[in-house]
Amino acid sequence: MKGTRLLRAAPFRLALGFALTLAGSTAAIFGYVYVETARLEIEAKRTYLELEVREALVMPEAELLDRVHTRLARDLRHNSVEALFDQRGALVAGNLANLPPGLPVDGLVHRLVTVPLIEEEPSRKEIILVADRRPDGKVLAIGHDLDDVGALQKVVGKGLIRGMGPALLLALLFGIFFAARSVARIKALDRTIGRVMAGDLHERLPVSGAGDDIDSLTTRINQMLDEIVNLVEEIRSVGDNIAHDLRTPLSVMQARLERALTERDPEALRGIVAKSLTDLGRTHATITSLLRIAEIESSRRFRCVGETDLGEIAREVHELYEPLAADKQIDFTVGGDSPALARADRDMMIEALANLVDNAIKYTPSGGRVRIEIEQDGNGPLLRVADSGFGIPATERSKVTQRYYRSDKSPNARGSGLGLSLVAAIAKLHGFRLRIADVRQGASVELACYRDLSSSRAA
Amino acid sequence: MTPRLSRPQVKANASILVVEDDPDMAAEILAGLSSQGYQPRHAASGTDALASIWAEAPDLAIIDRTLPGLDGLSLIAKMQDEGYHLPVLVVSALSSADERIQGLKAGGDDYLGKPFVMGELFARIEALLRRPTDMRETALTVGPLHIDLIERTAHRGSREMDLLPREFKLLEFMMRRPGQVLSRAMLLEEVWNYRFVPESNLVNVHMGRLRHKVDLPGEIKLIHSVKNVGFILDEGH
Repeated sequence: MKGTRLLRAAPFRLALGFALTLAGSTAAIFGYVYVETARLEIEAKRTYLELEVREALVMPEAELLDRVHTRLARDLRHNSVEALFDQRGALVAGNLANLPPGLPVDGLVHRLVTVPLIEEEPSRKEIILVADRRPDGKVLAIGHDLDDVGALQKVVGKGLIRGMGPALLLALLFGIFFAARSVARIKALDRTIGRVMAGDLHERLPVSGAGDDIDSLTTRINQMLDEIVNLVEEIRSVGDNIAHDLRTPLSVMQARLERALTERDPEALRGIVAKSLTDLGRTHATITSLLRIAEIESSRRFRCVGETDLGEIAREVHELYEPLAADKQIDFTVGGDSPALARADRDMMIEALANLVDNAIKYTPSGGRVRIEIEQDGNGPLLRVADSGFGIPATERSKVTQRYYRSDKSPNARGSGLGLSLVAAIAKLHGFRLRIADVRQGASVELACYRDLSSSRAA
Repeated sequence: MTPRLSRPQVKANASILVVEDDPDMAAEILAGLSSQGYQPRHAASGTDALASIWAEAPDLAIIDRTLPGLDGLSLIAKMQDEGYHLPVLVVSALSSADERIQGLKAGGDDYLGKPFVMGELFARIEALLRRPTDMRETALTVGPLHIDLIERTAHRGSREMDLLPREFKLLEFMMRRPGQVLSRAMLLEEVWNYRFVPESNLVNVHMGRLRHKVDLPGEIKLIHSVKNVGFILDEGH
């Protein structure tokens, strides 16, 4: 198992590939050198033989015979062929039994494999030969074998093996070394990932500190795990909140319906059913709000938002809520700089402002005031909803943006208590800051509509 | 001038295919549809639904998104591939804005999140079965009501009503769908373009304003509340 794993590791395969490429290219270079050298060698011999034969043709016969004998006597390694044949083709002197049938008498060099040498069995070695006729009609053949070229081949082959072997071995050793290292690291990562998959989300992948590409990848994966842990915890808290807020009305409903089983009066029964339906509707509304908050918190859609005019949003929300305020005899106004452009999702800003206004009208008694204001502070536009209502005590200000908080001072106002949590979620998503201002009378909630870098969430 | 009631035709006994795998939910929807005079059919899976559409050619389909085997959105895609173009109401517990967009993109004509009240379901079905009046018309008349969409004037009989722009838009929306129950959620979505549901009873307040101008004391009421659901513009109630 371990062996195959090592062999399949990327660094090993890389080293193997590198070694093979190196071997291939070196062999190609050696091969080229060999072929070229051999060709030049043979070429030189050809030229030499052609010159020799031309020179020997015009030599006096005695000198020629002397030359043939001297040459053959000196040729200890039997590389040379020298032979003189008479007009009928019989050997006069030399080491060829007869003129080879495949050799034309034309003064040009030819390459033969089988040559009838005297003293030896018909030779198998390659020989280049030239034959030509003397003025007296006798034929002279001289030649030379190609053993030297074969020797050159051996030298080149030896050089190739001696040089390449160690280089290949070294490359393989490097490959195995790095492969073993990376296999060990990946195994450690794999073990950790296994534990994370088994449910231990707080495990983190080991970072070697080498600062290489695996390190930067594991660092990113660890950041991803942090984000996943955050999301899981958010989901868990949504679940806890649902359980917390729904158990109470569900228990009430259960008790009421149990009572209905023993109730005889049809009118009373109808009343119980109607009440239960109202409670059910309220629990549905709570679930919807919670899911909406969770949706906003996990949303990434606002990334490509354009500019939104807060003034236009303010007028629209004012128009939507004006009748409601009028019914409660609340003086509801809108004012401030316009246009006030902010990088924000238009629909979400309407939803946020509508929730703020909804709350303000709800918590302001009849005859009071609610005002939407748009301002520019040093960094960008700011939306403010101020009312003359009950106000929010300083001690409760941080709590109201959390889920499920409803001030005890407003027993008449009914709602899921999730409005400000929703606004907080929208603000957080945009990187905006939601602040409850310190005012003497009533409440004033500000939404600074620009990215607050100190509290923004990485997205 | 005799007031003309421009009520679009709707098949009284339209057949509706309910594709829902939960037997209790299916039973409730079927019972509700029967009580409204519709002819409901039931299919518990996407494959059954295709067979039923092929055999019975229903007028409308209510399709749950999460079904065993072929899921709701794939079913809609398949229906379109096979050339069935009946109106589809997608019903799902997946009701976030993104899910909704997905459902409508996939070919649903409307999307209703679970849980819902039956009245809301009926209102949506009615809206899908009827076609609103021709959008190119420049004037609308329902009973004694008459609005001129170019002059932006509204009359009840000979009495001119002074409406704010939003009120005019609301009345126009209702006059295009006379005799049809319009839920609060539908009004918020269509008239105000809002996806979110405010905690306060905003729609009621706006409708109250409009009613004060349309139905004066002593006149026959034209705008009626429908309990737990919304409103209807009709003289017959």
